[in-house]
Amino acid sequence: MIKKKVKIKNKLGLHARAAVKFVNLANRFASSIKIVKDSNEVDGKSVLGILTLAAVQGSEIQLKISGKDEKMAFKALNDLIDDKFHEKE
Amino acid sequence: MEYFRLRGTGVSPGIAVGEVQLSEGIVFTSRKSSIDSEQVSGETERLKVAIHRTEDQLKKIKEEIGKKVGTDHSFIFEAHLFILQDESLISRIKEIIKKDKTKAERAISKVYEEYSKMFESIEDEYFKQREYDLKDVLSKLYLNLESDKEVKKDDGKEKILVAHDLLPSEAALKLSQGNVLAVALDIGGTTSHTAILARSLNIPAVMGLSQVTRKVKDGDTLIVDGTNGEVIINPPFAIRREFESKQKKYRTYVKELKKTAKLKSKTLDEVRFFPLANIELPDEVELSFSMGAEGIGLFRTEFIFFQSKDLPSEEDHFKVYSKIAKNAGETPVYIRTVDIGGEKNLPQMNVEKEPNPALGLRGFRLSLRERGHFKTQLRAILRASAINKNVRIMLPMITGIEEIEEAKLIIEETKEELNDQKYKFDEKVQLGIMIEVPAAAAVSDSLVKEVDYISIGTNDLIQYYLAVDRSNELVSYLFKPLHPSVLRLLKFIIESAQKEKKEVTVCGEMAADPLSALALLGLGLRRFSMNPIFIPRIKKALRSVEYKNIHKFVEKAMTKRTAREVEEYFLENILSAYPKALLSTESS
Repeated sequence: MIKKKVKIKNKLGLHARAAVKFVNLANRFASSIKIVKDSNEVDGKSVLGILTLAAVQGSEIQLKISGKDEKMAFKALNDLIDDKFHEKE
Repeated sequence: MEYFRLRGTGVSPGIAVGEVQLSEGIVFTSRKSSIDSEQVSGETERLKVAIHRTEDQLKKIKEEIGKKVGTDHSFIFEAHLFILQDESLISRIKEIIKKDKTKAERAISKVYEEYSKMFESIEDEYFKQREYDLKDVLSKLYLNLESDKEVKKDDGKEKILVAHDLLPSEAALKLSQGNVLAVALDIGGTTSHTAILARSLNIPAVMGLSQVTRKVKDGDTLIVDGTNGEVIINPPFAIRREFESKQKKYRTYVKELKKTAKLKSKTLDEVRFFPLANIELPDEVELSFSMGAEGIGLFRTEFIFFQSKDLPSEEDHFKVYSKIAKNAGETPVYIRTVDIGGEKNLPQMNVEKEPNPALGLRGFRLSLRERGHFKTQLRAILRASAINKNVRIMLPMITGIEEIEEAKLIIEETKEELNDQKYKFDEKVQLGIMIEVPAAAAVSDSLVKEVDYISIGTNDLIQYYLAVDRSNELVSYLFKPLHPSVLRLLKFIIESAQKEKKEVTVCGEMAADPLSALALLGLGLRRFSMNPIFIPRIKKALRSVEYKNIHKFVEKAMTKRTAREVEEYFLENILSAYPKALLSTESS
């Protein structure tokens, strides 16, 4: 199990487009992927769940990933967040 | 079958007679219909089938909308597909069916209640509003539990769409099917997304009817008169006949006007004038040219902001401007920088509510405060200017020279940045201002020296000048474009521009009203920018007269004491000299 905190840096936060990108990527991995923000935990493969977190720019979330491809999954998802979901600004 | 007439705002002209189809509103149920344990698997199966149906529909919609309006609009359906495929959502519905021993309808409704509580507790406006997406998906799913409901929806029959309101996604979908004869909505107005769409698709529409959804039911006969803003429910035979003949006349009129669109824009005494189009969507460019526009005299950029829940990026802006610049070819495109603030507020912008929004932080004033957004928009406009060198910058709500100087500094700064980053743009891109604040009008002789052109926004200018809120029915009778005071002011502005040999345009509703447009012609105006659907009738009016006489009539009319005297004098003279100028089947 990998548990790591990451900061949402893109301007719009985990909005619909970003959430769709996140889930799209998460679905490629077999591992279970959870996102925790404040005291709420949601499924990282659920767009709806991610939206209910209302993670705006600057908020901190924790990724909890467990499964046999957890390392690859973490790297890929972390890169996506780090790259601001490939948004222009 | 009760006969009833309702008044609203006509937002897209034309007349249609047809059968009502109420757009399904919120369908969720609070009634718990219990089932036996053996029926649980049956209900789960119904749910599964409904999910499949909804999925197919969403995929189809996504593809259609992507093709028709662009992938920007179809993204919402991709998000909806993801919501539909959301494992935690679906398993929760199944769980409720099983645990509560209830029909799928109730389970869907209950899940919606649960999630909406969650969304409601969110403070951030954007995330809070995602509830509507969930509602959209779940109501589709709900309807798909019954197969015949969907069949009824897809019958392709011609109908008049009646709804409380339409989401932009719904409007794009429904109006583009080709079987909607007209639209009647409880809320909304001329500048709503649905209104714009209806106009560009030539679908008559009346909005702001406040209670039409409560007055009609499916299958009622409805007349929608989008020209006069009236809706008639279950009309008696005689009235129906009357409107059908009006409808015929209107169609002939439209055909005639389209012919006019191709004729030269010249008065009888060979004075050249230029009809231009006011538009809000890039898709309206084509319509504008088919109506006879010789350029886009006002592109309102607000839709780019209203379209998304986020603030638009430079690319979002650029995509739109470059499309218009390209489609407009050689003809000019006046891009007005964003005119929001005040009432037209944007949640993304965090502008505080003001006690007096019309006099508050709006238009260019807001742009000066939000320089970052302003520059983003300028960069996109400048980049689009490279394509056909036909793009112009237009600043709204300017009061004085200081603002123009400030704007110039920012534009220079932006140009330098673009140069450094090797972006191309038109070095000589024209800068103009809107004259809509009376103070600016009064000093237009000095303002015009600082810019390449001016454009008179008569709607706001007249409201401010006469101190009349047009939407306030207690005082709206005082809103008189042909008030002698207004004509004097307009004459001063137009002459100020002429003295400096600068272009002057009117882009308010005055330009679209035949009598007012003639008055403007008489005052020396040559550039008339308006909703493209009105271009043919204005062209017809201007082509039927001689400038030199109209000029005389206006000069004389201006010496009258009241708006009424002006109107009477002017109208009488026009009617006797050019009986055909104001003829249109709409008024006859």
